[in-house]
Amino acid sequence: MAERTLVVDHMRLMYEGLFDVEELYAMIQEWFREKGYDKREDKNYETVTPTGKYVELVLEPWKKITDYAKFVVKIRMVMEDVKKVDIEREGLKVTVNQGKVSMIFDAWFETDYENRWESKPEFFFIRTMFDRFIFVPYTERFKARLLEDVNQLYGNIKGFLNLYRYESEAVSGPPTPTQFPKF
Amino acid sequence: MRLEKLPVSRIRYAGIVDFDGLYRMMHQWFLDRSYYLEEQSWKYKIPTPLGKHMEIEWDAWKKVTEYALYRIHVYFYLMDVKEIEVVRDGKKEKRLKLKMNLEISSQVEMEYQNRVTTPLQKVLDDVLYKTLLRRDMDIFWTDHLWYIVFKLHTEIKKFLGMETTADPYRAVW
Amino acid sequence: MVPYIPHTIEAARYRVKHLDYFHMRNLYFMMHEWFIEEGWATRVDYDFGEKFYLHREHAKRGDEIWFWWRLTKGAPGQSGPNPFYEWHLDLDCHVVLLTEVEVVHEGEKFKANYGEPEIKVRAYILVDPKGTWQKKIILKDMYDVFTKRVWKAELQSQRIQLYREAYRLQEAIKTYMKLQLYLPEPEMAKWYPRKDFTDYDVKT
Repeated sequence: MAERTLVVDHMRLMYEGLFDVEELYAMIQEWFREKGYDKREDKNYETVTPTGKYVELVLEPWKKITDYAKFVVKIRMVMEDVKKVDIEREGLKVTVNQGKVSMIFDAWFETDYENRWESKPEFFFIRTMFDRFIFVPYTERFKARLLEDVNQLYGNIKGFLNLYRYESEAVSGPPTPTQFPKF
Repeated sequence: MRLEKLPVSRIRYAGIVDFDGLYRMMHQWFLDRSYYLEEQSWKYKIPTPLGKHMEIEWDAWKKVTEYALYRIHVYFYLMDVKEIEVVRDGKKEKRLKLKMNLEISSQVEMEYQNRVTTPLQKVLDDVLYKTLLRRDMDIFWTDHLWYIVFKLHTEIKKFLGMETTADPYRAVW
Repeated sequence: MVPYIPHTIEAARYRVKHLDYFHMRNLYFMMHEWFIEEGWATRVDYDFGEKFYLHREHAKRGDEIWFWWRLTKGAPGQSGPNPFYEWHLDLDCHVVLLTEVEVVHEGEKFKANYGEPEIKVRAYILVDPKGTWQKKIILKDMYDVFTKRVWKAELQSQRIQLYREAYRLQEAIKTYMKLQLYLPEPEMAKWYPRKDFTDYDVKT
């Protein structure tokens, strides 16, 4: 069996406001494709509720670096109360979504994904020793690359969401409560 | 026979669906790609006041070469199914209001004809599987089937009108 | 001969107990589906891992149900248990005072249940479950050093990941029971019915 080392542990991004679900999803998938990751979509859940759509996605794309190592990035996206609203952008009316987005990023550095070094305890021991003491320069470099990838994706998503926050103003749609109720 | 199982992908949708249309679309998708489609089970459970429950299982397979076969398994679980009428373009149409769980799993079957019987044949089959055809299996067959499944995945999402239908990987395979 | 007891690292242990009207079948179904989705089991019924099921019927006290689920999986990314470590999740459910009742929801009568389900969950990692390391000459002596020094960080990381997964199951059970929740992300994707068949627009 393969061995996974956790490199990014539950990095969160939360946003509430205007965004476009379709564009956000397309941006993330396009980023993975450009970086050479293979597509994997474990879950894609959509429920229509009276307060808006609930969308949950779990993406787990991977990228084989060598015949021994690969990168795995997992993103769990939960979007609640997603509604369609009309906004004005450069004088034109555009329909986007409004809601809450919560994303959790995890990344693993996986070794021996072809399961060649786990059939016997001796192989497992030798492999662990090699990974920990002899291949350290390579594994650390790979982990740094994976971390850089995840940070870049995180920054891209943050920039994409910030673009909606500052660029557009809703013309129509339900008001978002900004104050706590007074008692 | 050796199996290379690929991970399961799930689509879950709760809302109003043209289930007849979806069923026919998926059926036609498999036929267009020359898959043999077998409906292995259709279960209908006693309806509760919330609606009907149904379970449907499909098994689709296609021979790629004499040694490799693609198999795609589709599992539908429909919950709280109620028939409703909607008005579309001035016409009344029947739709289903339901909660649907769709699971698509796939596998590549190697040596599916079970022609290997003698010990010598088994040794040669081992050499074929572990060395000579390893690259074909990794790069070609499993990858190809994986992206075929995602094309079906995208078609289902488009039909259901889901928000996440973008597919930058459509040009792959 | 003393039987081999593998080294256990406990990740989570909790119980959820609630006395109210609920639907036993939906609760059972929801938990079963959760395990299949998270990769602990497959849809093949005889592989599921239900080790014990007891149902006692009483005319006056209501029925009593016990069931034990013993599920195993490898760490995320592995297609099965690793020869060196395995993730285990043991679920014991005990339902007492179970009676069939009829409830009215949105003007329609439903058959539901009244009772007190108690769900106990224990999640742990078993290191060297089959004792294969203890049978090897050099590895037997290296075992302690390996688990307590070389591989310690990995085991602790696995423990935290299993702990999170176990508490996600708790969140799913509490969402069903409409109890107080605390995880930032919801479980069950607002899809499974809750104990009183209400929709998810009602905030708990």
